[in-house]
Order: sequence, then C-alpha cells, then structure tokens
Amino acid sequence: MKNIFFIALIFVSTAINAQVKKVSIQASGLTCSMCSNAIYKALQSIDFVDNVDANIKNSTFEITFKPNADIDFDKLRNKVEDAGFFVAGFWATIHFNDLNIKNDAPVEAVGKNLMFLHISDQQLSGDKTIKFLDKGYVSAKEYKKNSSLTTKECYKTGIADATCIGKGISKGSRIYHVTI
Amino acid sequence: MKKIIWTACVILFSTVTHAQELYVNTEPASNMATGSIGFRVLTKLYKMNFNNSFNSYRIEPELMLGATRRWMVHFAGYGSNMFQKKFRIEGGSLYAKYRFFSQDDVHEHFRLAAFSKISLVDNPQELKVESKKLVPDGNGGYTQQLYTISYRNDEFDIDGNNSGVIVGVVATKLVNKIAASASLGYGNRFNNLNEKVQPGQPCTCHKLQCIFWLSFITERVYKL
Repeated sequence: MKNIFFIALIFVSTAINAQVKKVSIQASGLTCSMCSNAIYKALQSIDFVDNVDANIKNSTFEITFKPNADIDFDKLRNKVEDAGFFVAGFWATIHFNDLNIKNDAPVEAVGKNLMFLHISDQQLSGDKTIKFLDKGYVSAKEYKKNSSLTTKECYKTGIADATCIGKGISKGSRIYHVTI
Repeated sequence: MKKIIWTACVILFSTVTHAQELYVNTEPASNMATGSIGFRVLTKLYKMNFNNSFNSYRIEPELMLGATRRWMVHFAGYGSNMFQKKFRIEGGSLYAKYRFFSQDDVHEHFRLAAFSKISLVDNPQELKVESKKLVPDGNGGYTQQLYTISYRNDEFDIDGNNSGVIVGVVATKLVNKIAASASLGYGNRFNNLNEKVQPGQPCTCHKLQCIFWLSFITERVYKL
C-alpha cells in the first residue's frame, strides 16, 4: 500500500512539472518604440507573469511565469490588443511527459485543450515549442491560409463543439489550435 | 526610387506651408498606445496685413491621450496676438479618433479611422486697425498720414481663428518605415463665441478637403 502512495506522489509531482515554461509573442501594428513599452507594461501587469523580456528589433516579447501559476493564453493576447496592437505570432514552450498526439485530434495537456494541426502522429517528450494558430494568434492573412489544415468548426470559434471533443475535453470548453 | 520619394516630400512640404489647417487632418489612422500620454506645442507665425512691422504668432499646446485600443483624444488650447496686439487665450478644441479597421502584419499594416474635431473660439469677425504711413508732401519731403486697415476673419481655420467642426476618415498604409496616408474631411464653421459671422461676410464656411501625405517612421531603440 505504501508503494502505491509513493507512485501516486511521483505521479503528482511530474504532473506539476508538465507546465508552460515560457511564451513568446510577436506583436504587429507597432509604429514606435513607445509602442513596445506599452505592450511591455501591459504584459508585466498580468498577475501570473513573472518577467517580460522585450526585443524591440523584431517586436517580440519573451514571457516567463510565476511557479505553478495558471496561465491564461487568451489573457496574454487580450493585453496586447488592449494596448492597441495585434498578435502576429504566439509560441509556448511546454514540458511534455510522453504525450501522444495525432493530427487534427484533440488532446489535453498542461490543463489546456490542444488541437495539433499539420503534424505527423508522434509522442512529445521534454521541452517543445508549439505555435498557436487560432484567430488573433496569427496575422489575419496567416489565419486564412491555415484554414485548409482542418475542416472542424472549432478552428473558427475556438470553442470545442461535437467534432472537437475528446477525452477530458467537454463541449463548450476553450480549445487552442497549435502546431510544431 | 529615392528621387521619387524625395520629390514627393518636397511637394508635400510646400503644400503644408500653404494650407493652414492641413495638420488637423494629417493625424494618421494609427492610434497612440492605450494609456500613453503625449504633449506637443505648435507655434504658427503669420504676417498680418494690418501691421507689416510684426509677425503675429499663435501657440497651440495639445494634450494627446490613448484612451482605449480604438479611441484616442486630443485637447488643444489656442492663444495668440493675431486679433489684438497683446497675447490672449482665444479658445480650445476637442479632437477624437476612432480606429474601426485594422489589417496588421509584423512590418506592415493598413488602418482606417474616423475623426472629428470641435473647436470653440471667441475671436472677432472683423478687426480695424489705425496705422500711420509716410506719404510725399509735394515739397520733396514726407508727412505722416493716418489710415485704417481692416482685417476680416474670413478664412476657414478652426484651429484658433473660428469656431467649427470637422469630420472625416483617414486611411494609413504602413510598409516598413514609410507610411502613406489619405484623408477626406468636411469642415463647417459656426459663429464665434462673441460674434456671429457678419451678414455678407465672404467667409469660407464649408470646406471639403482631400489630402494625401507620406511620413517616415524613425525608430530609436531604448533599453526598457
């Protein structure tokens, strides 16, 4: 019985370890260096954000998080838009624990519902960087171009409907479309 | 290509010097970042025909605010010695801009915005000034003569001269560091706070204006 408890403890600790290590956001619509500063301040004001590293040359922001914080990707995107700009690229580096993924099929990881597109079926282990493809996470041009990757309705809405539900993913929950 | 751009700039610059109210409409479709504050002071010099010996000036301090992701507002004040010899405060204006369309990429964007400016000014519609000039007295000398010059506030300029309103739309296309903008605006002048437009005054009371301009964005990198 003790052994089972020990295994359970290991399982819990690894589950916590599977987390978002950092997020990189490339912003668009910037016309001045003060714009970078506005985004930097907006991101820094989020409660779960630990540190923001701004690269003004290519208008990207590298964000690290407070330990064990619940990271809300939509909140990060909204903060950039509230400052008056748009997200042109959004990447998350996540530590995966042997997660099996299939193209255009939903999976649950780091407490988020993910739909991998444009990939070959594989197992993800260790730190991997995934690129978000949802509306508002890429430029309008790129979003339109990527629409050929799936026929599912949730690509347009970001909300899991009957075609996008899976194990642990209920109807009406937020689902993110990503690729590697 | 460089030559074409420079030529276009020179042409634009010469338009600026002739069209007084151009800068009202030359605000690009892009807004300032939310929560940011800007301040600028514009000084204009005029050669008034009632007194050639001094150039009148007008000072316009302007406070600019990025209100939300789509709205920005400007508050401006006007003060000059154009209609009297001493400097006085003439009025103020409120400008608002609403960005309603954006198509953004990393190094380019296309944006559309609607803008409006309302201005309240208390300047007179006509000003008579007594002046002296030297005229030949017929004996080989000169004598001083008094005469009156009138200056009429006929020109459409809601940035200080008269009260009025401007509404319009502006489009801006940015590619790397060059932004091309075009705006279409309609202006209507109303009575000034203290004096109505005189009957028969040949004022420019309405104005439709279409402007195209280029701007260059310079970027300096600051450590955050």
